[in-house]
Amino acid sequence: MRFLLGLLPLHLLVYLGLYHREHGQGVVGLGELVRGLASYPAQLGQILFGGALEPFWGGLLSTGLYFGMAALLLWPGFYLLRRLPAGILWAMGGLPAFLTLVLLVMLVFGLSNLFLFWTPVEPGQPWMVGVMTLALMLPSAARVAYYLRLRQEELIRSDFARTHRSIGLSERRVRAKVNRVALPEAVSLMAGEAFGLAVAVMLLEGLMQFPGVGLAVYNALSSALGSNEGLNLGVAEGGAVSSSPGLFLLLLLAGVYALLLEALTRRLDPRRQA
Amino acid sequence: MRWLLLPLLVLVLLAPTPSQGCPRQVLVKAGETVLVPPLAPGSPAAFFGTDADGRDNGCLVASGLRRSLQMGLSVLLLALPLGLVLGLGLGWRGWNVGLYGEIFVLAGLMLLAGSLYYREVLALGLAVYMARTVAVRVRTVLLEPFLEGAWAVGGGTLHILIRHVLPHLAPVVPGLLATSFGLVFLWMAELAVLGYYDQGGYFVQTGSGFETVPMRRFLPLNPDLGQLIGTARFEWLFNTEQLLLPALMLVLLTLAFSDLGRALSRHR
Repeated sequence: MRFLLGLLPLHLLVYLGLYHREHGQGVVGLGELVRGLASYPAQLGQILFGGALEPFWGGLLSTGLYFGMAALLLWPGFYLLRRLPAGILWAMGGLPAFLTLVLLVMLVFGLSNLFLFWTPVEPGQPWMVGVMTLALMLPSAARVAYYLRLRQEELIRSDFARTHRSIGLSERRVRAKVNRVALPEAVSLMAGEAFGLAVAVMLLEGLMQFPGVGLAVYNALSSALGSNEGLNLGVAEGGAVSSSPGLFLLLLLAGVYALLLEALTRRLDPRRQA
Repeated sequence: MRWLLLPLLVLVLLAPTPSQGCPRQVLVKAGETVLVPPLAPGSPAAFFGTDADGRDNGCLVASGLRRSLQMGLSVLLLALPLGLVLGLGLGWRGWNVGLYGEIFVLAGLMLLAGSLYYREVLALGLAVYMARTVAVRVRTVLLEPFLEGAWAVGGGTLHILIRHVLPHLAPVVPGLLATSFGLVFLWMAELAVLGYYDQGGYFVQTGSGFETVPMRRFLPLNPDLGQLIGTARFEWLFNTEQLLLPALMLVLLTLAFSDLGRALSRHR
């Protein structure tokens, strides 16, 4: 329950923004803010008990697929990437997921031109699922691998590593001990990136216009200010606010993932076990 | 990576100012000279190609880089005093501040304030980020044994703040500024994919005028890199370089400044 309450301020802020864009223009006024706040409990009731989530369950499957696969592949990903030079890891970690997607799509298109194979840009195509997952996973995995390596280098020179060496443990065993201390911190870093992953999946679905919860939220957020460009995006039937259950699901997905990783951090940390 | 910033700054210096403008083509020379896009496809004036409206990509990105740097600097100047004061207060009180899901927070604030307050919203987000770093530093200093001694011999709040906390904070500030500057560009890139950027532009209506849905194109005026990404986001599969070039520039800026931040912190 405490965890759910932690997500609510973020959801409320975006809900108020969408409510304002649906009912007003320019800077939000106090009256409108109060009306938005007053309507929020009813909206939340609809989300939790009133079936407002029903239209989004189907979308959650595809968004959950990208999110879940990226979350799972993060583990082998950072394990494999940690052998790369630190400079490359650092640069890869700085790439936003959407740019990684663009680069990967260009790479696949280039290969398809070279070897003459068909790459239809449609949701559910195995190559598209692979590219979306890689685009979500690679920058995050590079950041974790980079952090892990820095931390390992720091710990290998620490007092406890020296003590292990002095009692006659081999360098390999000492490194294993160091890894046990560094890994929980890396997992904790992954937990901190959970909301970043949710943002990334939303932007990727938006760029590809692939159906999912992320696309619903992307279209709502984009069209709410997109009216400045005079663009009719033809989205958010029933108003931008109607996508707030989708946003709730997206935040919940990230929140549950962060919660699981936090629990894993506690489980992995040898100091807490002691 | 240490020299990444230099070529970017050179590119900014070489970029045409808004008054100079990007190269255009002489369309009509009879009587009055009319200089307009479009440049012809394959024109030697546009090495990086042209956008859908015949404007030189290389020039757009170079002048966008200049404008993005100006914007980033103004955001940083707005955020700095607020971030420092907030961070000092939070650190002094021992309170925590977090900014989770910052793109959602920034998007929410931008929806409430409108795109006219783009810079102010970014500055607010950046101030919170800076405040968190400053607060951690202040808390670390406050736990030092020499400060316990200073309190014990009767040092007042102002004395502790001016004589002990601020001098320990000062060496962190250059590194923090560089890292924050880099972060602004990352936020600008991600918000741009959502279609959130600094300023508007103008519409060009094409077609015969009898269409049921008017054929209008949005052309950003003196765009920054974020706006270039924002306007290219619907057509990126067909004109990939339109999105790729400004996005790469923003990422290079982020990396260059975060690298500078690391170097300054290490130097300290």
